[in-house]
Amino acid sequence: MRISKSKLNKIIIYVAAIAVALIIMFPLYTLFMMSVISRVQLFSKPFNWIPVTATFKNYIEILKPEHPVPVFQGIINSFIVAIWTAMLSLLLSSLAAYALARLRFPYKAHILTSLLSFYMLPAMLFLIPIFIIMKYLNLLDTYLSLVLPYSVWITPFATLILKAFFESIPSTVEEAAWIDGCSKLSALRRVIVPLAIPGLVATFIYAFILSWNEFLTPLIMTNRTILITTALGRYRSTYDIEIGQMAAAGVYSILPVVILTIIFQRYIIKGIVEGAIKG
Amino acid sequence: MKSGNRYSDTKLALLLMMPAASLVIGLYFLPTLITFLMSFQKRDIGENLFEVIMNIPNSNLDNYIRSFRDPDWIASFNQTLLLILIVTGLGIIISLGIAILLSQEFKGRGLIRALILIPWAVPPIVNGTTWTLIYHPQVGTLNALLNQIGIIDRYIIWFIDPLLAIFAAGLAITWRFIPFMTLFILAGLQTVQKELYESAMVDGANFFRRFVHITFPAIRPVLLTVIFMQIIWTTKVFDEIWALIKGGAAGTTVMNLWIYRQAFEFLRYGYGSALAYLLALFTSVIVVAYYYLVSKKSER
Repeated sequence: MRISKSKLNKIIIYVAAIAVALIIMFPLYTLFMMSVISRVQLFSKPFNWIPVTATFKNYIEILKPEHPVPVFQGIINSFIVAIWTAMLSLLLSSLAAYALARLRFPYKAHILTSLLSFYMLPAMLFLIPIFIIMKYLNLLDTYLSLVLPYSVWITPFATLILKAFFESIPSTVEEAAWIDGCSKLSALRRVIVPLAIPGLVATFIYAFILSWNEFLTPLIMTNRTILITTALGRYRSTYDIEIGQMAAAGVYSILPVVILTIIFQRYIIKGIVEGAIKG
Repeated sequence: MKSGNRYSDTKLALLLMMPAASLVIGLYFLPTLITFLMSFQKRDIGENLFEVIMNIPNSNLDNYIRSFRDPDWIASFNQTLLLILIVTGLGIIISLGIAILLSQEFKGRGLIRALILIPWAVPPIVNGTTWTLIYHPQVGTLNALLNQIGIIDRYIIWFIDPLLAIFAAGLAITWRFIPFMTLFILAGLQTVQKELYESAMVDGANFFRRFVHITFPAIRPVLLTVIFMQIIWTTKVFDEIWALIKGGAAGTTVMNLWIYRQAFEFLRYGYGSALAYLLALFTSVIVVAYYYLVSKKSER
């Protein structure tokens, strides 16, 4: 009797686990499958869930320069913008996070609270004037018109994550450095930074992913400088779309960020939970 | 000695925070202020900032008054409320389920844990695009699935009905929110003391009794926070709605998208700014309500 009950528990757990896996995989599988199957299979009824004639020709086709949506250029541009954004916001946030984690100064709590407003308020609140300013300065369609607004809202996130990370480094380590005659700045550079490298790398990846995924800002700021996300958007607004090609472009845009997420999952889970706990 | 140390701390802190602060002040707080000024000006003003500054004396409440008579804005407000309800409701049920599953020990738990992180990384616009394939009227996998298991006998055009459309969009958005909600609830579940469960098991309490009497009271604050974050994020959703119901009939969009269209498609910067502030006001009401609820809880 007892054994059968625990067996039943096990069955329930595995059925639930399979259901969860199916929920998560269903959209991803749909996207992948539609990118590799032929038009004939796509329209076949009843629908065959296993790709019979898998072909990767869509993946090659959409990278060609004559393809109406510049997917290849989009991938390149997204990489450049995401790397610039990650570097800028990492630089700014690591300095600010160190100050918030380690130094005592007035109004610290207020600063932390105001960082949180970035989670809350709609992006439109600052994107409208930024668009006008960028237009006035002739900066629309430049990388700068993306990197700057991205960094504005990624830096606060990154600061909160890094602050938690700095706080997890015991302060005795740097006190020892001060006693050995290091100034606070050089203690930061020589002692804290090396210890914080995993956190800095994780924050860089985090910022890269957020930047890669952004759609609204480039939709507003750019027209000729296409990113992978706005390329996807362009498929949506083109009438005569090839579903297979759009799906292949979707797979391209998912791959880098999903791979990074799986590699850095431990840090990202920490970032998601800790970054939000402050909310 | 101590105060001297503190003074240099403050100076160093200012120095370290200066770069980030100048970016945030220059490109966040200042623009937010400009939006505020623009929201009181003519609907289409704002081709350049000097025009906006010069026009300050002509400020009035026209944009705000107009918004209450804008049927599409009212409709988008209702759609946003509906979307919040759908995403929060569905999200809590699904994520709580997954979190409880992940708090059990079983082979393959690490795999499931890694798997549920993936939706977080998927670009929201790609998520939206993917769900257009799922909901596609001729080749969509949802139609295929429901048809093959016998729930529907012919393919359905999901986006023809505004209610169905917002529900479909809500499902897509919920999928992307699963990782955050699950991880957050899971973190809450892990703080529940194991001894409580053990003594309940000894007393012969079944799973549901354990959930109602131990788990739920313990994670109630966490659930409150998750619901709060969920509501805030749903007001900010743009990409999925853009991908799924951009071209849809009037009255199917949400506030965020309607603001975008006013400002960047119809080039009514002033009116768009006013609407952006109304959305921010809505967000603020939720924030205040949340803090009120939390502080009331902790008083008890």
